[in-house]
Amino acid sequence: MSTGELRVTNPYTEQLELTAPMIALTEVDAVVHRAREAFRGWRETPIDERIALCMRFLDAFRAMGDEIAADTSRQMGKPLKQAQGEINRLCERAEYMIAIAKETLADEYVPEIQGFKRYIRHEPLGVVFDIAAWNYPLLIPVNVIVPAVLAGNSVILKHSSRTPLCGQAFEDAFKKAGAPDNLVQHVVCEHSVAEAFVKHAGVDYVSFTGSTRGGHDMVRAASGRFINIGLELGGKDPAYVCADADFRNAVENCVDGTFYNAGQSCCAIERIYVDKIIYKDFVEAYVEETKKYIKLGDPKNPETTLGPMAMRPVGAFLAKQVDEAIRAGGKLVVSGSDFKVPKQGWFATPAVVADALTDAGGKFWTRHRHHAR
Amino acid sequence: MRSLMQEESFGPVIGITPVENDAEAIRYMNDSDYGLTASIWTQDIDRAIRVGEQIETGTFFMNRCDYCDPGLPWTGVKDTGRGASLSKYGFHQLTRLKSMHLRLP
Repeated sequence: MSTGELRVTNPYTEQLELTAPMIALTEVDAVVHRAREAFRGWRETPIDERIALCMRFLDAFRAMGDEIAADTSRQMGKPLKQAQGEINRLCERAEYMIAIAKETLADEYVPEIQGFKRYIRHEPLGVVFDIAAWNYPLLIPVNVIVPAVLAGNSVILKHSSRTPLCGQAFEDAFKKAGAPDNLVQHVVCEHSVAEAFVKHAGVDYVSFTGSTRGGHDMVRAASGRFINIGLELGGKDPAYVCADADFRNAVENCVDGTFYNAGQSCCAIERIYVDKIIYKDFVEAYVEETKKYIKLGDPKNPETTLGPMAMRPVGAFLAKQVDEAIRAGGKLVVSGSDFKVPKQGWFATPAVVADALTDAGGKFWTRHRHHAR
Repeated sequence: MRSLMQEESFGPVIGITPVENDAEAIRYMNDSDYGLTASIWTQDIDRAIRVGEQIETGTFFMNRCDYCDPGLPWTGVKDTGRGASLSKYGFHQLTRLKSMHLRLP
């Protein structure tokens, strides 16, 4: 069977940045087999050793930090500075999970009954298959990989086709930390091959971060199996600004929450509702702050706050959303003409629409009745 | 239509809408297929809690947003997904329970 090659284009230079060989369907079984072998030994390893390995993993990851940040930026376009910030946050999260691991995973004793010893053990599941997304390509995998390893599982990571080097960084850092062979394996593969992992009897848990449609694909792929699937999908997160808010703080945080990482965050602010008493002032201040905040440009430039989009067609989709909102009566208060948009790169035009129509009521329930069918 | 306030954008665009009061804000905030996080910006913590208890969301923030705290479960409602990561519950997701029930000799 032929194995294709993954090609990753740099969203800023629009040039081919790297290629990576993809594994074939026929190789899935061997990867899972190696993961099961690794699990067999690892589950017997005392918790203190698992903790020590994860701490050495973090040291290795930090030592590779400059390269990982640069790779992240050139694959999916986020400003280098934001990629560096992501590494710091990865360390904070992993350190927290390491700190609570021993207590959380310890046996739980229930009230004693004469003549019995009774306790609850937290056993590892086995092989964890993690499908990660490109938008926070370091934070998303660490949420699963570090706690999975601490709990005694082995991990197969399938990273997004936009960010294969980020996936490789996890495998490499665990190797450098002295992890047993194949405890954390990274694979580059097509969607159909990823589904074959989900269906494989040797995989005990699937974690998926991505689109709602992708989540449905995963659930379908796992139908007929009783494994759990963790799904972290989309968001349309609202902010509600009350009249008594600390005004400057609300404006600055809402702007940052909207535009950080070019809005490519599942928990980005995507809708803002403002008390009518301060509405006019809020919109004015928000517009001003947005114009100050956004600097489109080369992700390598430390001044850049908004890089190109990771996916080329996104610009057209967003423009359509904005057009529709304006046709429905919204007012375009920040538009492309407020910025210098670079001539190269997959940049989307930033836009703020005031008086955007929203319609709580019939539509919501119609949609849910539809889903229930 | 109205997809700017309904459909996930995942990009640098945003809509802003005035509201009359908390009840209307709550209705609008819940008018979504998703529920990952929501935020309120106020100095009144009682009001924040009152509103937060009525929002269909995985995380509710006051005076903060776009943040994932490893001490709290990262989770969502509706089409946002299933399960939780981070916090002690993140470990529960990656382990199974075994009951050890031993009658002593």
